[in-house]
Amino acid sequence: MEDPVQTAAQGGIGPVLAASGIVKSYRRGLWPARRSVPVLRGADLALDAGEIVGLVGENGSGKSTLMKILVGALAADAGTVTRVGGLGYCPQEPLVYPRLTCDEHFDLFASAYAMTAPAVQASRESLYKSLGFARYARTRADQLSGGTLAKLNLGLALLADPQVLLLDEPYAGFDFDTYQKFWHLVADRRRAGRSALIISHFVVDEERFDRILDLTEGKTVPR
Amino acid sequence: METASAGWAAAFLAGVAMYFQTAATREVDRRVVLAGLPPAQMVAARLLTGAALALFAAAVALVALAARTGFDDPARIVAGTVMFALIYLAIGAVIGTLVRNPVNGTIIVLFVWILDVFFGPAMSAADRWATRPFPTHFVTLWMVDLPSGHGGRLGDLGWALAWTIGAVALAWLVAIARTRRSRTRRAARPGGVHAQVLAASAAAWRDAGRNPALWVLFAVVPVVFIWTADAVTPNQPIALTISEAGEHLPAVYSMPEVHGATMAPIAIASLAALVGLFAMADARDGDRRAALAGMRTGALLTARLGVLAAAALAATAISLAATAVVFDAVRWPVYIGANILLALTYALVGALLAPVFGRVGGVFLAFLLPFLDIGISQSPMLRPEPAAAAQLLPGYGCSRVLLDGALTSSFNETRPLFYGLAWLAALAVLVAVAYRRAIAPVPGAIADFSAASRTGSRVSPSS
Repeated sequence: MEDPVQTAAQGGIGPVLAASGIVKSYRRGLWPARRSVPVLRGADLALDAGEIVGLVGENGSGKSTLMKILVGALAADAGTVTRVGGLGYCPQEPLVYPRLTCDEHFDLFASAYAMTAPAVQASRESLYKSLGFARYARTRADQLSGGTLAKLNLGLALLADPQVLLLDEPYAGFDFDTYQKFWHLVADRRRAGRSALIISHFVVDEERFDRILDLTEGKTVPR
Repeated sequence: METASAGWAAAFLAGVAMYFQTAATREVDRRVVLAGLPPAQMVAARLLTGAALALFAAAVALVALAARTGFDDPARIVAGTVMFALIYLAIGAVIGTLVRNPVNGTIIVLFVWILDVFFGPAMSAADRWATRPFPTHFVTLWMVDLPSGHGGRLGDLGWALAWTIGAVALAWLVAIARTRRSRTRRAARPGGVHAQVLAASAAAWRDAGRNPALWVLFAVVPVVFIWTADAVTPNQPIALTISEAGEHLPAVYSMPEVHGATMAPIAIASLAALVGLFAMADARDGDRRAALAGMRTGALLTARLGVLAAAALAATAISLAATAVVFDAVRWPVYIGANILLALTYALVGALLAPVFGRVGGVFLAFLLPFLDIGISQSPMLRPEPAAAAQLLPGYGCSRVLLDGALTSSFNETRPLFYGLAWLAALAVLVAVAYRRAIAPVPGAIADFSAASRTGSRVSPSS
């Protein structure tokens, strides 16, 4: 198999996100009964520009662990990750500030993404409109319904229109209408050359993905 | 009191009149300045007009006083009344410059005046530490010829003149600052350190301000700790060791006196630890994600520590205000300083509790640790001097300094002060390290090759 990292490093057309030989184990229990539970055993992954890739696997197969390693939230025991351009991360659990409003979240994350004020304004309005939660702009996160909180969670990842989107169960809690809107957003970004890696327990609309990877026994396998 | 009433009347009239004059003309004045008039000239004209109003108000008040009681010492009474009027002229100008809404502005002027008059030396105790900074404290005492005893070299008249001149000068500066043409501020570079610190601080302040549990604790804990303790403490003698002139000496105090001094720090340390705990525990997930999105860990930490320090100072202020009702320290500045040091120390202790024990366990320890340290180990109520082991605790240095300020007339606790500062510095380093470990993205986990500079580097995260 071609080494995705080498491909990325050689310049020209290549993956915008590449992971190679990712190994990760968690330690469980207390000494002397402490043991190591392997989760990832050399997972590889490459994401090209304009590509939508699904990552599926059973509960506990290591999907979120791999995602956290790709994002930089978790250190791998071994392996390599490279990427090109900005990255937007939508975690499985909405990691937000309970007492800040949607607008205030967007302002803070805009600063993290180094966005200018007009760019933030335009992107925020577009996201409110696309996902249909403009009326909650000034509502605190701890007062949002589960579905609207999921929209905010996704919106924070999309705000800066990053080159690579890493979405961990992004549509859990969406109604069908919002689910459709989500895929419209993803399609728009694919046309603009953006890429997305989408984690899901199961894939319903397989045709929406360019490729699907199964995470089995700690390794990624093309479906 | 009748003599002072001329000053009160002049002050009220001058303050309200100047407030309305300033507030009503603020926008027009700015327009004139935009047209080219130097702001200093504009403000000088406005203050001179106000001074005419103040003199008129003083004259009316003096005529009323003369008609009712006559003057014993005309020069002193006239000068005092004019000083009253000028000080409130300045207060009215400052409030008029800063507060646009006339209802709010009038209420603030009235509030300041009521505090000043009703808690001032003519209607209340002449020598309360807490009321010495009131605007007309020295003017009143000089006007009624009642020496304060705490005027120092400047004397009561000197302080009264300093207040008058200082107030007018401050009003001048504030008015000029608000009247001059606004300079175009250079916008912070998006994503720069400055912009990120500002954005993170704004979010942190909003987050803290919307935590009702915190504000309830701020209101309840000082009252429960301090006032209840004072109410139930028997008035009996208690022996403890104090430092005076470099020597450790036995001394006997009344129990309520010592208890008053020692309950505030327990309340302050508990509140500060809770604030530290909440500030860090509630923000952890959000900060971690913001850091992954590109926010600098240093910017996020600066924002969190800024809120933490402000909340610790607020806890100190509220607790000391409650304490001042039942206890009078010998040297308030030292006592306050030691309590601030203690608040900052325990705020950092609380911040360290969050990642180790979580929110629920942390709340328990946030109450328990200050109680064990300040309330028991350092308490002069239980033993004259702290045991050797107690000197290893974070509250030792602060406790010795605050007792020194509360009960003695000279400072003799240099070594404990440095001990307390060392604890503060060490805790600050520990909090920074713990926060970075909890929040910062994995260093070197990802190589980001920009389109312009793809290289062949490989990164191995932790192998």
